Parts: sequence; structure tokens; C-alpha cells
Amino acid sequence: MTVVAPQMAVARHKRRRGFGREMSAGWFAFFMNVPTLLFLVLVLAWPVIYAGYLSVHRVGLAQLRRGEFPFTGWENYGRVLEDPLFWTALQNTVIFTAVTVSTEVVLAVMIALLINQTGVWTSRLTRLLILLPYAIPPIANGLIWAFMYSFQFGFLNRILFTLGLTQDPVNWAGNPETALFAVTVPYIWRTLPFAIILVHAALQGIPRELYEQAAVDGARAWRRFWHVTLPLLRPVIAVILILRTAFAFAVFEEILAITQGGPGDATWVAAWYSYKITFSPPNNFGMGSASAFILALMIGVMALVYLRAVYRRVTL
Amino acid sequence: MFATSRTARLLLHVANATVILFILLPLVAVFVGSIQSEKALQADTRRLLPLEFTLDNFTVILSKGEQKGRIFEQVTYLPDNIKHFYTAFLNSAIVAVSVTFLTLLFGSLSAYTIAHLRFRWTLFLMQANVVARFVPVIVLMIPLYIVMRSLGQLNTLSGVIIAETGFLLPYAILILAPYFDSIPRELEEAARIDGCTRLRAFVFVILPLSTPALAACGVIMFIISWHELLIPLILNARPDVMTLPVVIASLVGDVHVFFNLMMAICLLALAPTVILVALLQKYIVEGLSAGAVKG
Amino acid sequence: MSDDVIRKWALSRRRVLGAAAGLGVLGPGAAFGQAGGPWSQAPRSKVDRLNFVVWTYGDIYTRIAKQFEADWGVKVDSTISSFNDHPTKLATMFAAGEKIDVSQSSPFSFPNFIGQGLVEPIDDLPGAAEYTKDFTAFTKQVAVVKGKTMGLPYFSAVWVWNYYADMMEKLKIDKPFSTYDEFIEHCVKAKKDGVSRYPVLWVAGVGLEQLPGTWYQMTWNRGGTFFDKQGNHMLGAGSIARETLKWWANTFEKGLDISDPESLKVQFTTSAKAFGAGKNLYRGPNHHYGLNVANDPAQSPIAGKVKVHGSPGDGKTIGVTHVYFLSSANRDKEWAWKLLQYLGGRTKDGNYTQAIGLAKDAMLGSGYSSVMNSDAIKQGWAPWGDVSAILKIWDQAAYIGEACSSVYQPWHFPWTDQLNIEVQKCLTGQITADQCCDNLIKGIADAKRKV
Repeated sequence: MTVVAPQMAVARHKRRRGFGREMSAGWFAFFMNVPTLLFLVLVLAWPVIYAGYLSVHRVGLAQLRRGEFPFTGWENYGRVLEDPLFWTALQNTVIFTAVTVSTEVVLAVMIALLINQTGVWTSRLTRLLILLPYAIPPIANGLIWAFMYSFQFGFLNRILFTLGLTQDPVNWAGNPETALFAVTVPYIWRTLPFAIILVHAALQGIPRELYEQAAVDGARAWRRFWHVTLPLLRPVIAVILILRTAFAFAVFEEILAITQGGPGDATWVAAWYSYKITFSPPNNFGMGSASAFILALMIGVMALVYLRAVYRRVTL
Repeated sequence: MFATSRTARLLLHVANATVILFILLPLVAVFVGSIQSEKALQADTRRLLPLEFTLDNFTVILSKGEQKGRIFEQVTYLPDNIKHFYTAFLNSAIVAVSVTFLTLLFGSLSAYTIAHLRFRWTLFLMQANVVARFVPVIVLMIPLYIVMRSLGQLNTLSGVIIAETGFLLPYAILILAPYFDSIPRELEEAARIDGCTRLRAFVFVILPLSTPALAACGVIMFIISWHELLIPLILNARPDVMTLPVVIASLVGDVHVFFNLMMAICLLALAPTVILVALLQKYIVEGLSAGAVKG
Repeated sequence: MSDDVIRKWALSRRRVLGAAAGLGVLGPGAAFGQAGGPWSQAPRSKVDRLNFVVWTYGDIYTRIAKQFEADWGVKVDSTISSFNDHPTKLATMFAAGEKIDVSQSSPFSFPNFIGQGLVEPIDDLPGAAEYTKDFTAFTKQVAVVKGKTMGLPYFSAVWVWNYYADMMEKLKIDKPFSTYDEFIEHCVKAKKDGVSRYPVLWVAGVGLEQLPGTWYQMTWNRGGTFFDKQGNHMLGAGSIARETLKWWANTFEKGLDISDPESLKVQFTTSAKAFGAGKNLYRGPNHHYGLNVANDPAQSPIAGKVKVHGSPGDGKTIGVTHVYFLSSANRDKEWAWKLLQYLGGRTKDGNYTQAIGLAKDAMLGSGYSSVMNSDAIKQGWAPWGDVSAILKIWDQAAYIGEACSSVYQPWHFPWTDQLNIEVQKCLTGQITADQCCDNLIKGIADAKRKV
């Protein structure tokens, strides 16, 4: 990713020295960052701290309207932690994340290798289409898959019928044993392009000589992949693992559109739990904050791991 | 390099066909769903392609529910929100364009200083941005709702724009910083020797060289803010300030679900970003990899 | 709204009014044409706009807002969300400090809204007493809380069964079931004969009265309740509610496998639509107005073939009234009251315009006795089903709160969240009916803590 600089540009922008003395680099840097700092504090840092504050207070509709939040200590956390539904939601989130992330890593490496075959015309076609799912709004994606999965009217069952693969319709998202897996597919579909692109970019950074050396050695394709390519992809796989784990942990739209947590509690996930607790009666904002804060802490750990593992070499 | 034998080539074609099929399947579904009536969908639940084609689903949305066409003629309970399609589309566009502009503006100011003026605190700022990128919207939602409430920014587009800009700014900086870093420092120094201030050097030398980076970052920002559901869903309750994803989400909880109508509105909502992706694919690819791993 | 729609609306209104006048059904407090009551007088105060927050039902709100603007010259804004989103929308708007003049509630969230201070009593407002006198029994149970009138009725519905007549013929069954055993017999036969893979479609989608309503209804019909007069649960071992659930769960995949898996997903109208595909023999007890979808030629491939049927035994069933209320966050109480009457009472001309329109367009029942007894119902409902059969069922219906008195409690809402989850787990065979009921008994205390 280097930007080649046309030398011409400099010449054209010869300018006289500005009036007055120029400010120091330190002040300049500060002023340039004022908007960013403001937004970071106002929209990110402060709300996160405030979420912590709310989580130890009693906050309902009446309290919001009055503007007084009585202090309750750890009560909200206690209620969340003793709610079996919270643990179910957490367990579902972990399963959802494990399934989506592991599938994505494997598929991303396979498909990136596939579209790297520039000599094959179908690979070039795939490469052209690969980013398409990235363009689909998550909520629309969810609804589209709700239509695909519909037991009675669904598109997937119509395909199976037309191909003569089944007599009875399949209950994709309505069966408690399969529902959680059913919602992973649309999520993988939408987020896979990101992973493929990262792996593909990394593949292109691998020196050709390494392959050729291996070819001369007579290494067979899969061994070459295992011993040469894969180790070189390790850093990018680490990136994908951490980023996708953190994001999958907060999955919301696909759940909302396809199952709304059902059937039963089969697809209740952490974000859905916080949303429901907070925004449906009796609108317990305090308890909702507590559950969201627990989620934030877990994702925060992932962020720090990411910072150490990937941005440790930030020498920018 | 790999594929030389015929069987290997054939296998590659099969693999590609499978991937392409997987990518296109939902798009075929949304299209097929949107061009038929619900009655047709019910009449034969095993048929793949529609019994009859109709554009009524689009007509009813695009005429704000006034031209009901044949398939909605008798229907007395059209979901009210589809009538706000134009408003929602416009709101989505206003939000996405504003957020793109603001994140690019503030993001480039910040990313440039981080890349070119190395202070301990700018480095720390970079790390803060890395962490900030991980903050899930659902965690911000509850306090943000209360903060925006006290600022009088609930049920306004500006509230949504502020929230989304703050939410996306770290990501924009992560995408832009590596680009600025790759611009040779000598260029800026040459400009300064020629009498430019730092700001002038940034605006007239560095920025013009960074258009690919700005394009990459901008298109990604646009797409993400076009897609954002939770922020406008929670901050805005009134129909005149709803964005498209909120309108779509409102159809989910509706007791009267029309799959066909939903597919039609989904198709209309995904069109702008699909066109962007088709046209600016190269930039998006570069931006995505820059933002994830240091360029 | 197109002129065409307005014209049709006006026309139908005139037709109903004419018919009613012709038949002379107007008694004291009658539904039609009482000019010169408090409803026709303008409040003294001045407002430039009013608003209401409701859940979607077709064009009715656009129409009534237009009529209000035409009658009083005050602009009306509306916030309309879907039924399931409505409590969220209302709560967030209220908490945001927005002005809300009039809103709406299902009986299930109503105690919660009252508890949170959203609802203003209307007793001392001009003409309120007359409305209260005209309330049906259901409506009184919802709208009158601790002796105070807290709202006006939106619509009423009772739980009925549906069957698909052509399929009955094909099976050579001459009349629908009169006992639950007979019901099972019919379903098993339909499946065995290959006429229907899933003979029964229940309304067991997540909701406040969808899945829960089905269970309440079948328990009530068998003579059971969920809570006794003192508020103690009636879900223990051997209870009617528990046995009903056992019986119900047995019709699903792990048991007789006669229940359509789609049941767990469908809501009121979606179940009627799904039934319209003609794949099921029976549609489980649910709101009576599903007929207006299942028998609508524009929407249903089996229009005209769906019949209404009462419940077994003594035919006991349940019913419900949803309400409009005056919000405590109103701009101006008198004007808000005026607007509330347009939604849930009389318009300037003294007619129950909205209630009559809903009966005619959407087959909804009214919370006013005078409307229920009028020809608006008899003629309005006729295109979709056997009106006298439905009205007979209506007479056997008790308010849903009789079957499950926790609807009066603020914790009913979170408890229902759990009820939906546990019962779905039970119906899909993940837990037994006994485990389900035991969990729900435990859940009562949990739900109380969440309030």
C-alpha cells in the first residue's frame, strides 16, 4: 500500500511563508486532534463510563423522566448474573462466535487461494463478485434469509423440492437444534468478504520465490500450502480471529430479523438480551446497562489482545 | 502456477461455481420474492419461480402506499412505515453523506498528525482508536440514549449523525493513518522549506496525494453508516426521522408480514451500496486491508 | 391517501349509517348520530398540533387524523410502529421527554404503563361517564383500574377455532370436533390419509397474547386458570394448566406430530395467511378476525372455505380489549381528550366512527355494547364468516384476565417473556411440561425482581 508521489505536485504548491509565526508542532497536533478527541470522549468514552454508572443505579422510565437515579450498588449485576436467561444468552453467543469465526477463517483461506488463481477464468469471476455481500445492509440480509428459511413459503425449501431432494419441508430456523446454526449462515455470508480480502491481500504479499523454491523441491501442493503458505498467513489469521470474534460477540441484526431469539431461547444472544431487558417493558435501563457492561468487559479484553498481538509493532 | 492438470482445473471451476452460487443465492431469493404476489407464494409452496410477475410491490412502496395495484387492492392493513420510504431514503442519504464527510474531515486531520508528528500522546491516541473500534454499539446504546436525551438530540438526524461519526471515527483513522504514513516525509519537508505552514502543507500537498485513501475510507464509511441500524433505531422514534434500516426493521415485528413487500423494500435499500461496491471495489479492498492490518 | 380510498370510505360509512337508521336500532347511548353532546363542543384552550403514538393498522389512523383536522382545524401528527415494537417506541419517547397526547396499549402492558406514570385518568372529563356506561364487560376489566377510568376501547376480539371446509369434505368428516379427543382423532386421520401432513396450525409465535393466549384459552376452556383469586399460581402438579400443556405439547413433533412447525413462528394474521395456503385442517384458538384474511379472495387461495368453530365442552373461551389512553405527557388535557375520543370514542358528529370503521374493514369487535349490538357488526362482518356463530361464541367469552389474572400486574410482561421461551422449549420437546411449569413458577419471583 504505497502511494507513489508525483514530484510535480510539490512544485505547484510553492507558497510564501504564512503571516505571523507558525505554531509549534505540539500545538498543531493538538488542534488537529480536537474534533477527534471531542468525539472520542463524548460518543465513546463518556457513554462507556456512564454505562458503568447506570449499571449501579436504578433506572426506569419514571426515573428517567424525573432525572433521579437512586444508587443500588451491585444489585443490577446480581440480578443479571442470577438470571438463567443471561447465561443461556452468553452460552449461545459463545457457540455462535466459535462457529462463525472458525468457519470464516477456513473458508476465507480456501476462497482467497481460489481467487488467487488468476489463470482460471472462473476464479477471476469469483473475485469480481466476492465483495457483493459486504454491500448488503445487515437488517436486509436478515430479512432475506428469513424468507429463505421460511418453513412454509421459504426459498430454500422450494429449491429442495424443485431438485427433488426432499418430500417434507425442512424447518431451518424453527427447530431448536438447528436454529442457532441457521443464523450463523447469513452472518458468515455477510462478513466473509472482509476475511477473504485480508487473506487475499496477505497472499499477494508472499514472495513468489517461496512457492517456486518449494516447487523445485517437489513439494506437493498441499504440503507446500501447509509448510510454506499457511505459516506466512498466520499474522493475518490472527487479525481475523480477534476482530471477527469481537464483532460476532455483539451480533444483533440477523437475530432480530430471523428468529428474535426463538424458538424458545435457542437463539437468545448477549446483545439481544441487553436490548430486550432495556427497551421492552418494564424498561430496566439499569439492568440492561449491567448486562451490556459485562459484554463490554469481555470485548475489551479482546481489544487489548488485538492491540498487543497486531498493533504491538505500531511504530507509526 | 498450481493449476496445470485438467482435473485440477475442473475442480477449481467447480469450487468457483459453488462459491458464486453461495454469493448469489440470497440475491436471487430477494429478487424472486419481490416480483410476485403473496397469494402466488401461498398458492404453490413448492414452486421455485413465480407463477406470475408483478411490480406492484415496488409500486406500492414508491407511491407511498397510494397506488395499491392489483395485489394490495383489498388489503386494509398495509404496514404504515413503507409509506415513509422516500423520507427514510432521504434521511439515510443525509446521514450517510454527513457521516462520511465528517469522518473523513476529522479522521484525516487526526490520522495525519498521528502518522507525521510522532508524540507519545498521538501514539496513545492511535492505540485508543484501536480499542475504540471494538466498542459494540449495543453497549453504547443505553448511555448514548440518555446523553442524547439530555442534549435534546433524540428524534433528530443530527443526533444520529453525531453518534455515528463518533462511532466510526476511530475506524476511519485506522484506515487513513497507514496511508499518510506511506507518503514520504520529504514531500512535506520540501513544501515547508518552500514556505508552507504545516496546515498548508497538509491541505495542499498531502491531501491531494491521498485521494485514493480518502476514496477508500469514504466509501467504507458511507457503506457502514448506510447500514447502521441500532443507533437510529434507538435514538429516533418518529417516522419523519427514521432511516431505511429502521423502516425495514419495523417490518419484522409487524403482525402482518408480507414477504414480497419486504423483499421489495430490501432490494431498494441494498441497491445504493451494491452500486457503490460494484463501482469502487478496488478502493474498498484497499481500505479494508489498511484498516485491519497496518499498511 | 388517494381520493379513491376516501370516497370508498365515505361511501361505506354512509351505507352503514343508513342501514342502522333504517333498522331503528338506536336506543339510549346508541352508536349513531347523537348530535349535541360534549363531543361536539370545542375546548376553550388553543393548541396548534396534537399527536398520537399507536401501532399500525392499515389506513385507519391516516383517515381519523384527517377527519380530526377537518373537524377541528388542528393538525395531528402520528407515530405508528408495529404491534410488537409499540411498547418500546412509546417508552423511549416518554423517557425522552417528548410530548405525547394519546397512545395505545394492549391490556398486558397497560398495568406497566400505569405503574410508570404514563397514563392519565379520564373520569372527570366531559362525557366520560357516558362512555363508561356503554363499556362492554371486557372493556371495563381493562379500562377501569382501581375504580378509575384509564382509557377508551380500541377493539375487542374473542378466541375461536377455524377449519378448512374442503378438507373436512375430503376426509368425510361431517362436522368439526366437539371434544378434544375428537380433535385428535380428526387430525390423526387427516395425517394418516395423506390429506394433510400437519393437520393443525396453532398460533404459538412469541408475543403477549399469541402463544400465551392459546394456552390461556385452552386452559380456561377446560375449566382452569393460571392464578386463583388471591393471586397464587395454579400451575402445580396436576393443575389444569399443566395438563393442558402436556396435551398440547403431545401434538407436536415429539408426540403425535400433527402440529405444523410453522406454529411457533406465526402471529395472529400470519397464521391466518399460512392457513390460507390450504395445508391444514384446523387453526388453533385465536382472535376471531383472522377470518378476514383467510376468507379474503385477494389474499387467500382458499377464500370462502374457512369456517369458524367454537370450543369444546361448554364452549367457554376468552376475549380481550385493547385500549387508547390519554398520556400524562400531553400538551393540553382537553384537546388530548378530544383526540382520544376520535380514536376510541365519538367523533364530532356523535358517531363511533372509528369502531364502526374497524368492524367493517377489519372485522374487529368493539368495546362498546351499543356498537356490538348494532348492525355495523352484523353487516360488516358478514363477508368473512358466520356472524351469528361468532356472536354466540362472544357470549361465552370471559376476559383474558379471568384466565390469567397476572395481566393486572406490572411483572406480567417480563414473566410472559419467560413463558414464551419455556413453552416453546416444551412444545419442541426440549423440556417436559412439568419442567416448564416448574420453571414458570420459579420465574414469577424473578419477574417481580425485574420490575
